[in-house]
Amino acid sequence: MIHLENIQKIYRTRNIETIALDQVNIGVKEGEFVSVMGPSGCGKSTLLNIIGLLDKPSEGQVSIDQTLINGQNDKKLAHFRNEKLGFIFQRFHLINSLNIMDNVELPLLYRKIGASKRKKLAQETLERVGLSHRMIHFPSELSGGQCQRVAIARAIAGNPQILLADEPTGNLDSKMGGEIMEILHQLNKESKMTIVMVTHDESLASKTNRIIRFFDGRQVN
Amino acid sequence: MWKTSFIQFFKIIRQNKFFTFLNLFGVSITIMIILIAAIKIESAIWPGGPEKNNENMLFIKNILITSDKNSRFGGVSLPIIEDHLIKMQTPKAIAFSCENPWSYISDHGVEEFNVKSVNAGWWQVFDFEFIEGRPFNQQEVIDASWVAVIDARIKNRFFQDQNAVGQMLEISGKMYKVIGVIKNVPSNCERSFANIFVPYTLTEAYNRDIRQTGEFGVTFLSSGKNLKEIKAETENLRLRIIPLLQEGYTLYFGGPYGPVSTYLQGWVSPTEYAGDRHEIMSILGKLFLLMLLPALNLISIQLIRIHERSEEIGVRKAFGASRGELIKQILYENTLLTILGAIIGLLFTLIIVYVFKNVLAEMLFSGIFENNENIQFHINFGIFFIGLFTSLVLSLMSGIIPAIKMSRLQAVEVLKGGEL
Ligand SMILES: Nc1ncnc2c1ncn2[C@@H]1O[C@H](COP(=O)(O)OP(=O)(O)OP(=O)(O)O)[C@@H](O)[C@H]1O
Ligand SMILES: [Mg+2]
Repeated sequence: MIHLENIQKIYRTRNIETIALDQVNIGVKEGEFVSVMGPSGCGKSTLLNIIGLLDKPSEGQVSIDQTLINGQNDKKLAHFRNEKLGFIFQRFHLINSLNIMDNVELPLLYRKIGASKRKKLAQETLERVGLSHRMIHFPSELSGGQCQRVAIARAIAGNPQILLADEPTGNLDSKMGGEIMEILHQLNKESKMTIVMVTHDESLASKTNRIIRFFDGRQVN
Repeated sequence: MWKTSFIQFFKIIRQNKFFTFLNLFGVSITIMIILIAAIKIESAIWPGGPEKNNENMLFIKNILITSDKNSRFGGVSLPIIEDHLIKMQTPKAIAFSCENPWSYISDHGVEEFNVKSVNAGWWQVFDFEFIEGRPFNQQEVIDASWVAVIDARIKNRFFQDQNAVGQMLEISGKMYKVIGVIKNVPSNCERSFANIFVPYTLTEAYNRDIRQTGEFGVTFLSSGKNLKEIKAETENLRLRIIPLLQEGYTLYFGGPYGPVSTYLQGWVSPTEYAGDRHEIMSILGKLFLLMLLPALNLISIQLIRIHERSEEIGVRKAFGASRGELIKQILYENTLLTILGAIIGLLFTLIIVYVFKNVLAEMLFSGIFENNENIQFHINFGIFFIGLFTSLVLSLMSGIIPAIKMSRLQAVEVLKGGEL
């Protein structure tokens, strides 16, 4: 499903070069739930952004669902992200000026779907994360755990094959974190979603199919 | 797509109240300034009232007598008028006037009135509406009769609801017989405005030396077709008067100009007067400076607003918005916001013009209430659309650069809280 070959990522800022990723080769099969672990600054988020097509590697090839991504134009990439990928961030990144419903609808706006169908899909998705009663609230009126559930709903509203989660429980207490993990496992089992999750929590990672460890931009297992 | 964007737009402006307000405020103030500036200029150039036919009028506001050594600038002198201008063949009628303030001191304190000394032709050139009585005629001017035409404000002040015609009125120690009452002249009628009109022959103190400047302004009434001929005849007269001046001196008329040029004349001195085009450029330049402030304001608001939304842009990008779609969205929202702001600006201007007309008139022409009630202000929709267009260009220009920048940013950087 996800195939990375010889990925290198170098950040250049003025005269400092940071090698964020070096010689990374990763394959993730369809339906796998993989966690990525490693100390802070080792390149986990960078990896996720490259898989998510939000960032381009300096070297190497990225294939998603048998499609080679390198060299695709912005419009194609946007379309690809929209169809195949869902994102969950540590800091939720909900749009504060839109209510919950509109936030969840967001990925559907970039598809050819009528307004009523969009509403219906968004509503169904919110039901799956147990927040359908909060549709007309705004993000500022929800708890952190609820915000993350909305973010999950947004990520899966377009029914992507791949879910990328960057420390989804990082800002939550363990109870709320547990709830989020439960939803992710459920999505993995029932909807056969491929999930790549960055986490600092060994116990959460141990419940996933596989752990990829990083140190200083390199895989260590 | 458009309908969805439209709904999204309203959701976003509803939530970002502060920036929406700033943005709308910026645009509507810009539009208001433009519209009110246009009102000010137009109602000065085409004031209506007694000057409603001013397209057929030509004005000489002042003259310049100049040599290498010195120059005198002032009104037209009586010898030039009485010996030369008045004998002109081409104008249908000629009016001239000299203005004197009259401070009336009573128990109420000092009241300021405006008295104009005019000739008989005055009443032919300007279109006054008489409520009572009649204007004074040629004979009364020649005889220097102590007669006066007053406006409704003077009548109400001194004669209340009696008939004013036939009554005596004391002005600066002299007794005048009231022979006519006119409707109040709007205070934006710069040339015809006064509260009281009396024959100019009643005053002895005018300059009678052709080599000096004088006290009068002159207005020619043309048949509408012979403006050029009047100008040519005036030019001939000017050349004939020059030899009558002191050795080495020459004479320029500040006219005869139509209403537009006469208005523009105020922007530079008459010697520099180089024709309408030059003047219009200068006025446009000044208007441009006037516009610059709201424009800068608008641009900076746009920049702040887009910056505020960088997180949203990153998120949209992550969830499938292409660069093109983002730019389109931002520009679309800017356009709608600008149009909305312009409409608000127009509404406010309409309210000011129709509900607070007196306040506006006082601000623009500092006239008093009675003389403001007859002013007719018109909103120039041509100018509105020019203003709208300018604001649109500005907001698009100020929106498009950050929009492109933001859309180019890698979504990750934005989501990390990256800067532009
Ligand atoms: N835009 C950037 N410009 C320059 N250097 C960057 C940039 N983004 C990341 N880096 C550097 O690349 C390295 C990897 O960063 P990354 O964010 O992937 O780490 P991480 O493993 O996600 O860390 P954390 O656990 O703290 O989130 C770090 O050294 C970081 O400083
Ligand atoms: Mg990280």
